[in-house]
Amino acid sequence: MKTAPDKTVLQSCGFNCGSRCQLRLHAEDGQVAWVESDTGPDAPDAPQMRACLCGRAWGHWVNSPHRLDYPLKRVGPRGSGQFQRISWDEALDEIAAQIKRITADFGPEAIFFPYASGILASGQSPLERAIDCYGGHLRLHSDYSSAQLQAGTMALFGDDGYYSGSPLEEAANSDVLVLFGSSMFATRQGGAAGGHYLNQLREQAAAEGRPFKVVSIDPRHTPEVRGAQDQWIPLRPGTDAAFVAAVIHELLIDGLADEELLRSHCVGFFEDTLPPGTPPHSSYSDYVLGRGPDGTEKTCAWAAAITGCPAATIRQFARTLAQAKSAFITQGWGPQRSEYGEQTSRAICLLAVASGHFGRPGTNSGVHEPMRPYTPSLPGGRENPVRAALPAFLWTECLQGGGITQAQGLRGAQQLPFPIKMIVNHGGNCLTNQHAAINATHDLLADESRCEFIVVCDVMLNDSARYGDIVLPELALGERENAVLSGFGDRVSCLRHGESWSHFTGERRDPWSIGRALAERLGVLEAFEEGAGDGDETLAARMASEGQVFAASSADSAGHTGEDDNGKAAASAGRADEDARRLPAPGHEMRALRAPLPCAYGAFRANPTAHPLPTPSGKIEVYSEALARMAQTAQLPDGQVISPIPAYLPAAEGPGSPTAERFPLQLITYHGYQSIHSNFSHLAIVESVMPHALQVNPVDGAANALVEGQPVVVENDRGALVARVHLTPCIMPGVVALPNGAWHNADMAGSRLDWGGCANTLTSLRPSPIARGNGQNSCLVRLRPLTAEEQAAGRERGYDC
Amino acid sequence: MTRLAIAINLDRCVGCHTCTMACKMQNNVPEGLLWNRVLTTNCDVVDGAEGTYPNVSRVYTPIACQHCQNAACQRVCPTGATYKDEKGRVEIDYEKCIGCRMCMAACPYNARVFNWQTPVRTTGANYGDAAVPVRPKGVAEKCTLCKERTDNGEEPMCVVCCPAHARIFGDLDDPDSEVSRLVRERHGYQMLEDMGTNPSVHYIG
Repeated sequence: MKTAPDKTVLQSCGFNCGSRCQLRLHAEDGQVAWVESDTGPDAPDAPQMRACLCGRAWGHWVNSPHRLDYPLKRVGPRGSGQFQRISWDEALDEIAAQIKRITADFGPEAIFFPYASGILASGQSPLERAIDCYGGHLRLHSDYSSAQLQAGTMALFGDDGYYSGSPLEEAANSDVLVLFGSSMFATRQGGAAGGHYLNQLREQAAAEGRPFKVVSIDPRHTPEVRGAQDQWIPLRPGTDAAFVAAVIHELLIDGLADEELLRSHCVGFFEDTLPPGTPPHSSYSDYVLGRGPDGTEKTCAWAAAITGCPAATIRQFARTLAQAKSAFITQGWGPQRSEYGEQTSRAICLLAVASGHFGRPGTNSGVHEPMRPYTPSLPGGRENPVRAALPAFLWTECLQGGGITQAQGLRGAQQLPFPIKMIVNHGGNCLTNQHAAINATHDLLADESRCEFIVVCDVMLNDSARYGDIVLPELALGERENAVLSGFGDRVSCLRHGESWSHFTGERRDPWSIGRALAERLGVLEAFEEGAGDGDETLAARMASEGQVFAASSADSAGHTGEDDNGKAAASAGRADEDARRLPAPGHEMRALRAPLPCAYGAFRANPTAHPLPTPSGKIEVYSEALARMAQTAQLPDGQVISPIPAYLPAAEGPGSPTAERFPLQLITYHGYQSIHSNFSHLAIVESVMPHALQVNPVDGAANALVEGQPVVVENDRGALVARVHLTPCIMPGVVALPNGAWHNADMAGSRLDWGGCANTLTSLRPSPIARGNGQNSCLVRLRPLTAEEQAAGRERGYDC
Repeated sequence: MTRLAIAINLDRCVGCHTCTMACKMQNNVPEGLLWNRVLTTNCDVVDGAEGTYPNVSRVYTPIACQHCQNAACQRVCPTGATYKDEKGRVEIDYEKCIGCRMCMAACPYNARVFNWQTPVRTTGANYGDAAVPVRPKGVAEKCTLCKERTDNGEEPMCVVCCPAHARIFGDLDDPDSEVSRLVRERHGYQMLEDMGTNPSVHYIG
């Protein structure tokens, strides 16, 4: 028998997950002995924040052999992973000297913080705060999550779609739930997330004898499709807009579209609502009815050839929508993560409008369910003086030649004066692993004449961290005292005061102290500490700012606000503003249901004059003049176009494209149960429970003579990876899928064959036209068996092949 | 009498494998071994499906020791290491286990695993609930229905961890317990009922 644990501490699974569930860490001899999760009260309308398999494996994560313990300095070629231990002073002195040099020589626009969400649960990066206090840095706009959807809904509805959708609670009034590339169960897996609630909605409808049908429109069969009433409609990735066009065509010719709504609330659906001066036949209705410039009627047969979905199924789906009392139409962020994701995302939204399932009980606007607002930055510091903002995905393009202009998506400035000369990657894996075209990206990063200095600050030596010239080891969120707002995508939210605990941490440091030490060296300590102080004062400031978001987004006394006193919950009703003053002590948390959110655009639908949309016209811009103008000025990659309407546009790498002759399969990635982005997916214990595999339809398996479990090479002109085959009828023929986040693992000085199975070895740097977003799901590949040479190399690496 | 049992609502299970991981963590299950697995009905691979594209169906089925009333493993155990306890659980006395693996051959549910090697823990940290005994090389092991937790009146870890609330724990001998009521009202069934093992674990849906 082992001895009793030394300590049990309350902590958070603090990743960029909409849940951030509760963890109870049992520490023994300075190690996490085991991890429990929420043991507090549980009720159907106030569920526990139960951690998923990732959270349960947190002990393995925090003790992973990939943890960074000491500051490192690169000694081999960039990206080789050859480092030498150095002191904190040496590391920080070098970083401060480089910031000063690069700011002086090239200006602050040459310093770039790539998109990184590892630090998100703790708010803004303190390194960024320090540099903002000094001279500032190049900004970025949008993100890797939903860039195309943000741009698409901005054109259509005038907002970025993060907060404007109906909450899933609205589906309690629906009889049909339509999921475009959305899996509530897989996207966020915790007990307070949407999956468990979807089960409850189903059971509630069954108990009351109401119909509740789930239609999942997705290349993959997901667990949301359960009973005989549910339906899986597989579409070829990137063709959702063609599917929507045919459904709307069906609705129009049968008189089943909500023509009144389309006329009164929309611009450019019909010819007679087009803005003045618009070329004739540029409306959406003319596009689908075959009167547009392409002269093609968007019939079900037309869409069937593009989407791979039989015409009869499309027709039947149109009937389902027409007959539904209230259809709740939503989309995940996978469909929009494609070359023409802006078309995909706003076409799905337009379907909600055209079918009339919009702005009234039981409906949604077609976007993802809303988030709570993100936590604001700590007070004080200095505002970044640089106005120029690069689209998050375009930094590699910037490294290639610099000179990014407004016509290429730059905001806040006409043109970048200098290319990026310094990268500060704090808590992110978007340099390689979560970016795209890893081999090409490696070459850009490895060339020291392009980016002259790279700083990495992280908890793990992940693939991106290997490119650091200086690598700083950080304490993980869950191993220090912290203030965490959890559940910003869940029904329940929680303000949690995590405790610190004694264990081996090498020379890892708290991110705030790293930023502070840097600010000191840059001579801006006073500005850095202004409004946020240091130590306990900083934590208190953090808690206060998290507390404000918590209070503002939680239910008031009419809801179920209560507090959980370390397991002994008291369901005390209290007002949100009182909660803001009553912040939890260490080891305690406060919990509340999310404040009730209205049905998306309900007020606008009821009275569009009194409640106009934030679009230029105040209406739904099916035809967007802003996009029509952008189409004239934008500098686009070869062959790419911008359409003012949500028309289907075929991707350069899509079904039927010339590239498909050599690479006939579409590769997509999805949110697997085994990781939160790239977190957890490198752990052996996770692999043993939920192995990574390439999903292949048996039809494609037979064509490539594949058997279950066989390692196979997935390749295109950009690279090659090895993955194990899982033959399953749950994926569409012609499509293969990998869970995202697998850790890239290749000999970059040799074959570059990625034994880790990271999909971004294969994905493309080609940005989308409007958002300039990441379109990783537009990716063509082929499969082949491993050569004898590769097998030998694999065995040498310990890969079973 | 007491007959501790779990009813698993397959209409709720989504195959997330959290139970598998939580069980492994709670019970210090060594590398390469699982006490609890999530299968898909009528499939022999992880995450399988029935039917042919696009008419597929997929029923996730978590499986571990079924805690049978007429346990085949107990009948064949030559040393009495496998025993039925007063709460209706099938347990193993690791001191008495001689590693003959007759029980593994007899179990129709493939619920048992064996420590062929000295157990390996990936991080080097000896994880797991401190009250759970560590098993040595050469013994069989399996789900204990979280003996250390259920002895203290707590529910098994797989029950409290399930994000989909698919598992219900209780006493089958108490007709008023939630588990009894569910099995009765929702026509719960036993896995491989015709084997005559009379499992305590029931499936619903």
